[in-house]
Amino acid sequence: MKLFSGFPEGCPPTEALDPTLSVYRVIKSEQPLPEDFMSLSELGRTRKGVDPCTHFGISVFDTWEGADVARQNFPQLGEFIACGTLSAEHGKIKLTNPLTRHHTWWPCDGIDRVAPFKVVDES
Amino acid sequence: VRINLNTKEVDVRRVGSLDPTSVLFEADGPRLFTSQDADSRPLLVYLCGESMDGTDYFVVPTSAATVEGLQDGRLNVRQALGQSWGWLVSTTPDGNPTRAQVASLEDLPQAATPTSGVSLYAERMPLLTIKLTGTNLQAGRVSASVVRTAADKSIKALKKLAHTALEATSIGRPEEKIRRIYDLPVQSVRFASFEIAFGSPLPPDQLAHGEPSDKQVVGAVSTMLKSGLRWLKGDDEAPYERPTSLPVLEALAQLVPPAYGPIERVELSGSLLSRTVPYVLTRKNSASVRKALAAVAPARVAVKVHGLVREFDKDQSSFTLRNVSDGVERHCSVEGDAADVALEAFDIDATVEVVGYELPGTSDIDVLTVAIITPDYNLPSLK
Repeated sequence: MKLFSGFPEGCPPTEALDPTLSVYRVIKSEQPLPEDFMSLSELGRTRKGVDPCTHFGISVFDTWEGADVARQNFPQLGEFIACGTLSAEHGKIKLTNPLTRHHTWWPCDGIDRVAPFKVVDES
Repeated sequence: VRINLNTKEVDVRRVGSLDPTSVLFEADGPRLFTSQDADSRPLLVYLCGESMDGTDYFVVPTSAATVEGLQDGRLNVRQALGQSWGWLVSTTPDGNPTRAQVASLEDLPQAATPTSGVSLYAERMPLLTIKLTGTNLQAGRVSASVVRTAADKSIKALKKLAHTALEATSIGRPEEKIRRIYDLPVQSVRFASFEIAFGSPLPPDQLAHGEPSDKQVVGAVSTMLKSGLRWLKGDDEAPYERPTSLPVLEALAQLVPPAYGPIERVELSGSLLSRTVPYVLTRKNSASVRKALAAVAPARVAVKVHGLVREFDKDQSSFTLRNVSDGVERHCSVEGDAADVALEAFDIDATVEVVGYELPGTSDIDVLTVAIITPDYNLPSLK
């Protein structure tokens, strides 16, 4: 049984699935570090007009190109793209925008978020 | 990182609450969204800075047409934000605006703004963008021949690679189907220097059983082109192996800047190259390609013959030259201006002089120039 301590009720949403895919995340460090995989909630940040559950998730993309567009358009996100393969043990995931290929990943308690990831040059 | 500007402060109430009306891009929360100002007019809001103390947004007035242009790829993010002056709006950690200053995109640090030429969605990214630059290549001074050169050379390079990709498969395609891969739809043209962006191939007709899809062919073209560009632009400490494939080098030869003339640099980017940061090709790279071609290519023999254009295949952009001065019937591949002249000669039964390279092992000619030499030939408009 996966635990998501501190998450609001109904979060992750029931539509979220067990991940079984490779995902890409824009990060600031040349080698993935724990601080590259923190949710808005863990960073103490709030965004207006957003489902509160989103604050407990981490943004990833299911294509390198999707992550690259994010990196180029929003340089504040970071300079590097890390790729990792997620499996059921890593929590829950939901495709939130088919156009941008953005997924929200809700990591469950006790998993190593960094271990699956390594920085990649391109797809 | 927060943004600090020394520009005029304005009443922050003008920009409204910055509550998102529609989120256009999210990555750890909304990064680009629409909102409404205090008078319910539409705003485009871009997250440009943040820290524990709050968030900075660059906010510009917008329109439904701009948002639509962003979403369908006619405008990239930088263009949409650069259409108007706006405000730098600082908020509290929970997102309430506290301060607004007059600002334009150029006022912001480059590291806080979108990279030029990048679409909102990866699938709307141009397949290939070619930007030609040079000291004498400025807005208002771009000649038609430069525009034509950019289009012709990209077509030639992609055609070469598309044919090579398909030769590797057992099932061929008729030329009109291959043409979709190299004669790409133009997505945008810009005249500050000169830039042309090509979109993905138009939607395919039904494929025959076993025929490779456009995606597979484009993928193979991409792999070949990237291998060539990595070699060409690789650094000395970690050099990439020189491509041994003649078509790759011939495609590169089309894309590098010419040895003389107004085009001094060619910048290539797009999803075909998996690059939003362009490869910048200089005349030094042109020399490298020429040297590699000389080492790899079987000796290319220059030929100059004259004869009559008796068949012209518009789909393949090729013609058959008969009554040839050296007695050998020639199949000639031709593009651009030379194709127009050959077609005109075909129409009026004029004798032409063809200059080009004989393709190794064949009598076929890769045409450089075609000139009508029938003595009594007059310009078509004077006939």
